[in-house]
Amino acid sequence: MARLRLENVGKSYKGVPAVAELEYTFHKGIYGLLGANGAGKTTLIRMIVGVLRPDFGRILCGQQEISSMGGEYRRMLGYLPQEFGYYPGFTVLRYLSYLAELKAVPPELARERIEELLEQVGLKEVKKERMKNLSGGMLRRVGIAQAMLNDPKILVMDEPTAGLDPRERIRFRNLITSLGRERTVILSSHIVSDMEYAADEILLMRFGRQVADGSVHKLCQTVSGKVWESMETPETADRLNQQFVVSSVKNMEDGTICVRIIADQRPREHAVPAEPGLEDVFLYYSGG
Amino acid sequence: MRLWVMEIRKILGRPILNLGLCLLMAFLMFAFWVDASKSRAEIDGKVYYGISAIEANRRLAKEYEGNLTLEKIEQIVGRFGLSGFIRQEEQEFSRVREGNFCNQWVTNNLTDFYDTKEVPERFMEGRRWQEYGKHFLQTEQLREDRKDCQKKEMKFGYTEGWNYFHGIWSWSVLALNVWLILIAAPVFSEEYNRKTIHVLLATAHGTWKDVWAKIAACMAVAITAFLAVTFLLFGITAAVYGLDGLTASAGMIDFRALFGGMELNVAQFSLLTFGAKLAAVCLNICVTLFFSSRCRRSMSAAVFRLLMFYPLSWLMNEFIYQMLFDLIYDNGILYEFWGWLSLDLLSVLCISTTYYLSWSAVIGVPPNWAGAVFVVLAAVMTGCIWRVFVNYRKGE
Repeated sequence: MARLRLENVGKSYKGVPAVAELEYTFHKGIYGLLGANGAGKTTLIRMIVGVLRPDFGRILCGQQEISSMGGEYRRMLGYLPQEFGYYPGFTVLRYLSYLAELKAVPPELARERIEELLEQVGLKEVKKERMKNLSGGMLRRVGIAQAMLNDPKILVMDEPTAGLDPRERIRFRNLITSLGRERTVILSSHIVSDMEYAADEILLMRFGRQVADGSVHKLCQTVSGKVWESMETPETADRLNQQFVVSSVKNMEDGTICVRIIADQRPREHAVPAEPGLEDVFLYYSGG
Repeated sequence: MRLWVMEIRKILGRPILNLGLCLLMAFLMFAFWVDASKSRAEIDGKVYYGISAIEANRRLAKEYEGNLTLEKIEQIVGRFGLSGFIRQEEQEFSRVREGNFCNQWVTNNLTDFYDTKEVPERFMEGRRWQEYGKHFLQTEQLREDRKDCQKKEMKFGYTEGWNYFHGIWSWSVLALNVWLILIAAPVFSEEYNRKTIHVLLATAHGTWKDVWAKIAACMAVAITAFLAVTFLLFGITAAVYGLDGLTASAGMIDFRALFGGMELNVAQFSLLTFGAKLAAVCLNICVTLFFSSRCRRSMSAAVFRLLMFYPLSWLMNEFIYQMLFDLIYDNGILYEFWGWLSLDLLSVLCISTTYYLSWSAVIGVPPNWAGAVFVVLAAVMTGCIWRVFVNYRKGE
């Protein structure tokens, strides 16, 4: 089992820190990197897969720095980037064979593995189809298949559910859950519900820094007593929306509005404490 | 090996560009055929056309084969006269030459009769050539030329086919280099543009073996295409014009061969030219791949490379060289060591560009320059490949 450790990792672009002083250890299981756009998730992921080098700090796999491991580290790695590029003229089969070769999977094993993965991601019927003819969801599934070709110990996926319809997203989440049983899976997303369902551990990021981490339950506990629900008139609801961090505004049948507010103090006298969810945690730590 | 084959398939997976190469080859064949079919030979009052003309010229040239002496030259001119034009058309290529290979060659290369383009009256009557072919026997320069011929033991032979071959070959290699730029420009830039780079760089072979595979695949495509063009042209030349003239002096088909300090025959000259053109192709691939690894778009990589391919070479040779020459000359330091050295270095750089290598400009330069050209080529190619690795590994 590969243990991946980030030691004081940082990266800047033109003097602006994208990731700063990050310390974390990934073991077996599914880890979710959660943060708003620009929080540094993609930069961190690119450093983890070795496409980018940290400006300072180290990333260790076991006891060795990943940059010194080179191909040996990348043999353990499966990666699905945020923008999954492909060759439009390639068939699914040709694309996967090409990637299998690049991943140093022996040809005989590659053939078996490709068939197996195509079955798993439900693309067996379209294996001879050119990639330019596939839907977004299908392409994403090809992406997952290529990431799994070498049966990686570390699977890294950047925004894997972006652009998928609800059915595809559910399918994808289930697939990821099954993959995470035997390996380290690192997911990044700003779609909170995906994380809530799939991730065992969450790493919350803001402005390149780690602001909180833990299981969904543990993170929710950290904001316990800070989530409130209050029934308001439409005018007051609008005012509260300006004043506080509001995680949801829901129209009720009697014409009132249920406002869910995140605040350290009770925002209104008649507000009642509510059970926090990951969305509330995300808003609490990301500052609304 | 499998990766290399896959990269070759990727490179060649562009039907329009492949069709372009086929059309280019077809055009070259057509141009060659037109040249051959236009052949005309006039020997002792009998006129031959097309393949018969070529065969007649081959038979005739055999009579004069071997060392080119003043006596032989005079015999040729005495027997056939100097060669002017039968028809004076507006466009030069549609003009038709009179005479045959032997007297055309003597007229073109040992007199200025061809350049003055003045066909004297009653040219075809009797042996009047002595009256208007004045430059042949009279000018000092030509006496010097004849001395050179004798000193170098210039060998005469039927080189008409090799002359066409080298002309068309150079144009073919130029066109091939443009095709190669279009083929090689997307190799790395397409990976950035399609955003496939991150997946590739995160694979076991992505940062080393695959980069080599891409470079080797490009080289293989380039060298194969070059060999195909070369052997196709060579084969057609041999089939139409025969293999005669391979032992004749290279100076018969390219005047630059007279100034190189080496006595080359046509076969040796062709081999040297082959080396220069092959170097042009390899250099072109290295430089194009460098641009490909620098640019996010294949089009930008191709445009930058094409700008370097001809305009920059032209600027260096025609403009900067001249400017430097004038500068040194006007400042009176022309005969100083550094002045000459800078001009020589610039010349070596020019000769080492793909454009001038395609024209085999390396032929005819002082022999000690060949080493310098080799060093420049090796340095540029190594530098380009090294930068390809550095740029590509940086990702976008």
